[in-house]
Amino acid sequence: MEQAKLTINDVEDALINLKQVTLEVTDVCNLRCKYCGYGDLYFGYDKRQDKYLSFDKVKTLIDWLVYIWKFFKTVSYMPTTTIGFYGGEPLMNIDLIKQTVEYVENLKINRNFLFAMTTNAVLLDKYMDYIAEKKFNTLISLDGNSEGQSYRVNHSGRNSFDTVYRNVKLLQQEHPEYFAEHVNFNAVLHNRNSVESTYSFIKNEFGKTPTMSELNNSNIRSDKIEEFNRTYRNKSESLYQSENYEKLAEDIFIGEPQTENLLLFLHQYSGNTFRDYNDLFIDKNELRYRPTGTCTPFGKKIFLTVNGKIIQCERIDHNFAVGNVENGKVNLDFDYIVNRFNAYLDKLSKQCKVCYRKKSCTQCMYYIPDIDNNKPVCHGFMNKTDFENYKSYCMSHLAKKPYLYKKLMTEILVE
Amino acid sequence: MNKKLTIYSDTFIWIKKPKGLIYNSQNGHYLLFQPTSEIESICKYLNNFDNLYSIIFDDETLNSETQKFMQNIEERHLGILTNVEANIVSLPPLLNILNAVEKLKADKSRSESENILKYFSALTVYTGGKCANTNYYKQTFYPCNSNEVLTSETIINFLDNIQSQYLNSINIVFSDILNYSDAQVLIDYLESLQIPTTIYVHYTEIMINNRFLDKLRNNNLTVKIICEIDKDLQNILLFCKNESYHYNFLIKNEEEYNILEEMIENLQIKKYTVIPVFDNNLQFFEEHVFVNESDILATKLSKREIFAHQALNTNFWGALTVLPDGKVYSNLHNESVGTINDSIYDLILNEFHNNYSWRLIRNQKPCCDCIYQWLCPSPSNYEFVIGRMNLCNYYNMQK
Ligand code: SF4
Ligand code: SF4
Ligand code: SF4
Repeated sequence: MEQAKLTINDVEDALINLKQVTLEVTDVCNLRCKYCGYGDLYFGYDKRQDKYLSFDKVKTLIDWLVYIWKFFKTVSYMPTTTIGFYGGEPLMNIDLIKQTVEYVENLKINRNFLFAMTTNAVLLDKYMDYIAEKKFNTLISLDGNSEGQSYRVNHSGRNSFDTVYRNVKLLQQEHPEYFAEHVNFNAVLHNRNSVESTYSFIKNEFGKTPTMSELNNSNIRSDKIEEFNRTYRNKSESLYQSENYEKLAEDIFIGEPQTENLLLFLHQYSGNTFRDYNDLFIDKNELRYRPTGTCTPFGKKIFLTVNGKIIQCERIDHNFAVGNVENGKVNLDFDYIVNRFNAYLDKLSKQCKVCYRKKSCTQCMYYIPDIDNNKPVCHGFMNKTDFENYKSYCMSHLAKKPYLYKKLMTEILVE
Repeated sequence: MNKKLTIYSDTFIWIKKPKGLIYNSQNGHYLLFQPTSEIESICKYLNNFDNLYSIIFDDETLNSETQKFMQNIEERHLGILTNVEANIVSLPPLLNILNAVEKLKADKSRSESENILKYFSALTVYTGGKCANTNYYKQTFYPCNSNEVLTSETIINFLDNIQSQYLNSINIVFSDILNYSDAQVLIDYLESLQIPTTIYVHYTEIMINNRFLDKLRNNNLTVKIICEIDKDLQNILLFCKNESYHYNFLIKNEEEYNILEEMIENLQIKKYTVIPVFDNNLQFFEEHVFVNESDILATKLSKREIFAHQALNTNFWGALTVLPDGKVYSNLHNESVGTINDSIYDLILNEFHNNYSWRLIRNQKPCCDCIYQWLCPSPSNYEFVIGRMNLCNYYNMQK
């Protein structure tokens, strides 16, 4: 298998068919969660300065995108683009959200727009009618019951559980249909909750299966490593420790890490999964692959920070910004984007070439700790033995639950 | 003694009584068998995905035929017999197209019109004009006789509106290039597109247009001359033979084939394709075009190729054809999917909704009752002109 590089065409294509615009509408937050990615455990983000994104910047970016969307043929008939609002706590800048929604809704363009937001729900009672009316896909951050939520505190250090719980219940009562269709939960795992407790709380109270994430383990400040380790909890471990593992694993289905791995394995290695019809004409062994599992810039989304920086997603260090919106102009130099991306790939290409995981790599290169150094090392690297182990890890899971094969292959809808 | 049989991952098990076939797509090995009720129930068990292609059985309780069947499977490298504890997990072939139309329909957050532009990859335009009146154009590239003519301006407009980077092949079939105005304008435009393009011209027209056609030699333009075997052909080719042309020879019977062979030899023609055309010559087709069992089993198909036959039509996939009246077809034997004034998305979506051809598979009688259903090539234009869905001597095969 030969390696491929990113091309300008890839980037243009991604923008023409852009799926998501994520706007960091403010860096202000009404909570001060102990483990927040913008908090004192981490480095690598722009300093929080109580800023609010201006509508000017949003409009500049959207107008620029609209120009591209009108000019070039999209691959879908009526493409859908989600406008995502991100913070800080996005509801702290509801005015901008409303302005943006109105602006986008009045664009005369052949495109569907959806709106989405991740919120801590503290202000939900105030704005829920609007959010429900616009059918926002809302992801509520809630770490479970009162104990689980206890790292999510307000500025005076008080647990936000009561407020959040009350607001979410209110939303559920006032807008039951909207709640059923468009509201989901995400919980962060740590040493005060567990997969089991969080799952059962959210399931029982709100009838939803939460997604669960671990604490981000990159860019931890060196003086905070101990605190981090104390707080961190691994999802698989937490799951295996639960009393009703089997039942829980079945309920959360692909939320179970081994099942999730199996799904990925079946997609990449069974020879039975194809992305689309055209792939049935392509011999995958002859296909070139791009090293690492990093997405194409803007292949998933474009992220505009509160300071006007443009980044390929909100989950990576702000140093990886590729352009900005400034003085009514979008500054994105495609050559620069491509060259910089490829330069990173070059640093890793040797390792990837001999890595057994290259066909199913999910490693984002921006998460490789010393990627800016000359010789970054990827810790996801797999030699033959590692890969065989990985394979038998997946296969033994399947042998225990053979029914997963058909279920994963036919019932899971992924892009 | 208890044993375990595990079928290899790339192996297919098909039963269509009175026959059964186990086919290993990795090496082309196969086993043809008669499914007795015991064998049939074993195959059914294996084909249940939840059993992951393994079955545990007691050797001594099986009848001798079944025992032989089990041994054959192992001897022909279609599966492996082990003790019961052996830790082998096999994944039966189970096609999963992540963005298949049915899946898009099932997902409320998505739409079936997602990513459809990339499926349209080949365009054929019949300019129309006066020429011999046959329906051969419904079988292969051949001039279409019509009163209407698609002007170069119309064709250029249509292509301009398509503007798709996924279009990677264009065919223009001229009916009467001599009287086609602005051929040069069209050719210049096609060159500028940088998409591989083929110009089709009937051999009776090359005498006069030889110099014009000769000039078309170019990186992304190919000239193909459609030839029928008659008394003039050899003379014309003798006169106008050109190394850069490709020749499509249409033949209807053995006699023509023999003449052709000799001519190719005489004239030292290098680039050519022989294309049988159906014209009340069923016997010729039965003898020379229809597949028989040994042809099918001799063609090694990969798992991916078999999956392709199960999901789509490998002949028609991605192709649209414009006739001189401006109607657009995905299959000339069916209704049109629209006209050149419709958006390309609508044309593609119409094909997806009606499935006239792109996903036309061998799921009709008699193919759906035949063990070669997915090994046989996808249905082609011949099936439509001949008026039957199988291009084989099916009933002979059932013995
Ligand atoms: S984390 Fe990396 S791979 Fe994932 S969306 Fe962001 S840039 Fe892409
Ligand atoms: S895991 Fe690391 S080394 Fe292996 S392919 Fe991915 S990025 Fe390359
Ligand atoms: S054409 Fe149909 S009936 Fe004939 S061998 Fe093929 S699948 Fe069987």
